[in-house]
Amino acid sequence: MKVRTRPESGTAEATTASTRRLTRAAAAARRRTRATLIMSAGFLTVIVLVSVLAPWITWHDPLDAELVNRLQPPGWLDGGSWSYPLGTDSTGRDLFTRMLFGVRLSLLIGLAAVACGGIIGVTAGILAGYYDEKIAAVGFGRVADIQQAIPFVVLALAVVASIGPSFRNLILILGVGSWLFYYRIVRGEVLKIREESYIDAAKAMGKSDAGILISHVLPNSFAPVIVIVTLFVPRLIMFAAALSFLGLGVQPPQAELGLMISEGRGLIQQAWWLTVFPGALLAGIVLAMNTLGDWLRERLDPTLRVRQ
Amino acid sequence: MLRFLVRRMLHSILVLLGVLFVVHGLLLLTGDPTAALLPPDADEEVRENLRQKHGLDDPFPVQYVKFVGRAVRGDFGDSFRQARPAFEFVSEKAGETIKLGAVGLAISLAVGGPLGALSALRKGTWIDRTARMVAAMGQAIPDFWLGIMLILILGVNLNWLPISGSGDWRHLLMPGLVVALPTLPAVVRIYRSSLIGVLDRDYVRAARARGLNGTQVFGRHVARNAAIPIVTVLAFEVGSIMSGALIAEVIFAYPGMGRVAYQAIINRDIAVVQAYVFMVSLIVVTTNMLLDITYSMLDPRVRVR
Repeated sequence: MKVRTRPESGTAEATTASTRRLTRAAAAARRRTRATLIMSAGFLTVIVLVSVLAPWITWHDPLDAELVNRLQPPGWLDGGSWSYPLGTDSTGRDLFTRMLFGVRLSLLIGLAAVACGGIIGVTAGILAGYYDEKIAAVGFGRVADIQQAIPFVVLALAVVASIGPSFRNLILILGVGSWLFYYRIVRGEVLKIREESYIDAAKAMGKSDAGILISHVLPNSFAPVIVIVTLFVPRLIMFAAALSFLGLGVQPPQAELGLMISEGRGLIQQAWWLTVFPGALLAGIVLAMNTLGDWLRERLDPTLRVRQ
Repeated sequence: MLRFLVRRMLHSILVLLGVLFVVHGLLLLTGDPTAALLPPDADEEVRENLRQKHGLDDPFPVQYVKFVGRAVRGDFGDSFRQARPAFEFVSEKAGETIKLGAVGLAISLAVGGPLGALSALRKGTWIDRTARMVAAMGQAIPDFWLGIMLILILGVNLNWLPISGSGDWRHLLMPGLVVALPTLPAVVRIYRSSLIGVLDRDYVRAARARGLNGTQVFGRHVARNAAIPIVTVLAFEVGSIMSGALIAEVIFAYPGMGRVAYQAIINRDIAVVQAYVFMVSLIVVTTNMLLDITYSMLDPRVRVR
C-alpha cells in the first residue's frame, strides 16, 4: 500500500501542475544562487585586484599623517573633499587608502595563517594516520582536546601576554589555533588511504615510507583540505581583525581593518566613518568568501546537497 | 553508565592537567618568570624568594608538579597590581561572565530557534531566504564591529540602552547580542537542516495521517526531536561564547573576568592571565562534560565510545 503524502498528488493534472510549479521554483532558485555566486566572485576579484594594486590605485600614503586634514568627513558630505573620498582619521590619514592597504594585509594574514595551520595539521594528520595510530593519534588527539578547552581568543590573549604582540606572533597564533581541524580531517582520510591497494603496490615495489607519503598519501588526501581552506581563510581573517581590534595583533601605525575599527571607536560620535566603513568592508569580504566556500563545499561533498 | 561517568571525568581531568601544562608553559615562554610575575622595581631578594617559592630553579617536571599542586588549591600566585591572590581576583568576576554568556546563549536560541523553524517549514519561500540571509550575515559581521554599531545606534543616537558598565538587565542586552552573534547562524542552520530531516520521517507522516493539524504535529513530534543536534553544537560553541564574552566585556566595559584579564595584559600582570585561562577552560571542560553526560542519558549509544 502506498502512503499518499500530498492530497493534491492524486489526480494526473494536479501532479503535472505541482511538478511544473516545483520546477519553476527550482529554476528560480538556481538563477538566484547563480546571481549570488557571480556577485560574490566579482566582488572578491575586485578586492584581490585592488589589494594587489593598492599602491598604484591611491594617491595617498597609508601611514602619512597630515594633521591639518584630520577628521575630514567623506567626500559627499559637507566639508568633505573628494581628495579623501571616505574621509580622514584623527591624524589626517586617508581612510580609503588605509582600507585598501588594510584589505591587502588581511588577505596576506589569512593566507599565511592558513598555510601555517595547514602545514602543521596536514603533517600531523598524515603521520598520525599512516603510522601506528595508537601512539601518534593518542598524542596529537590529546593535544587537540586540550586546545579545544582553551577558546581561541583566550589562547591568543594568553600567548600575547607572554610573548607580546607582533605580526609574526599573530600568524603563529592563528596557525596553531587552527591546525587541529586539518589534522582531524586528514587523519581520517589517511586511515582510509592506507588500506588502498596502490599503497600495497608501492610498498611491494620497495618504495620508502617517505616516498609513499609524499607521492601517494599526500595528494590523495588533499580534496578535504581544500574544503577546510575555504572555510578558514574568511574565519581567520575575521579572527585576525578581532585580535588586532583588541590590540593583540597588528600594531599601529599599520593599516589593518580591525585595528582601524579600534582606532575609530573612541571617535564614534565625531567621526562615524572611521568605524562604519572598515567594518562593512570586512563583513562584505567575509560574506563573499563564505558564499563561495559554501557553494564549493556543496559541489565537493554531495552529501551536503541532499538537505538544501 | 557508572563506567562511562568515571571515564568521562578522568578525561576531563586529563584535559585540565594539559591546560595547566600550557598555562605554566606561558610563564616560561616569557623568558624570565620573575620579571613577569613581579613589578619591574622588585629587588633581588624578592625575586629570589619567588624563585624559591615557585621552585623556578627546579627541573621542568618538578616545577610542573608543584604548579599543579598549587593550582588545584586555587593558588596561581599573587597579582602584583592588586596585591592579592590572582585566582580570587578572577573567580569573583566569573559569575558576571557566566551571566553574560548565558544571556548571549539565550538570545541566540530565542532568535535562532524560531528563525530555523520558519526557514524549514517554509522551505524555498522568501521567509526561508530571509532566514538564511540573516544566518549568512550573522556569520560575516564581526562581533566587535556589531558592538560598536550597537553603541552608535542604540546607545548614542537613540539613547535607548546604556553603553557601558553593569547594573540592571538593560546593561546585559547589547553585550548579550554581541555574544549571541557568532552562535546564532549555527543554531539557525542546524535547526533548519535537522527539522527538514525530521519532517520527512514516517512518524511525522503517520501523525498527519491520524488527522493532527500542522501545529500539533510540529509541537508534539517535530520541534523537540529536531532540537537534539542543537545540544551537540552547543558543546562546541561554549568556547566561542567565552571568546565572545571577552570581546563584549572589553567593548562595553562590562565587569567580567575577561575584562580583568585584558587589563592584566596591559599591566603585564601575568598571574591574572594564567588564572583566567584556567578558569575559562574549567568552564568549557565542565560544560562539555555535563552536556556529554546528559547526551548519554538521552542516547545510550554514546556510552559505548
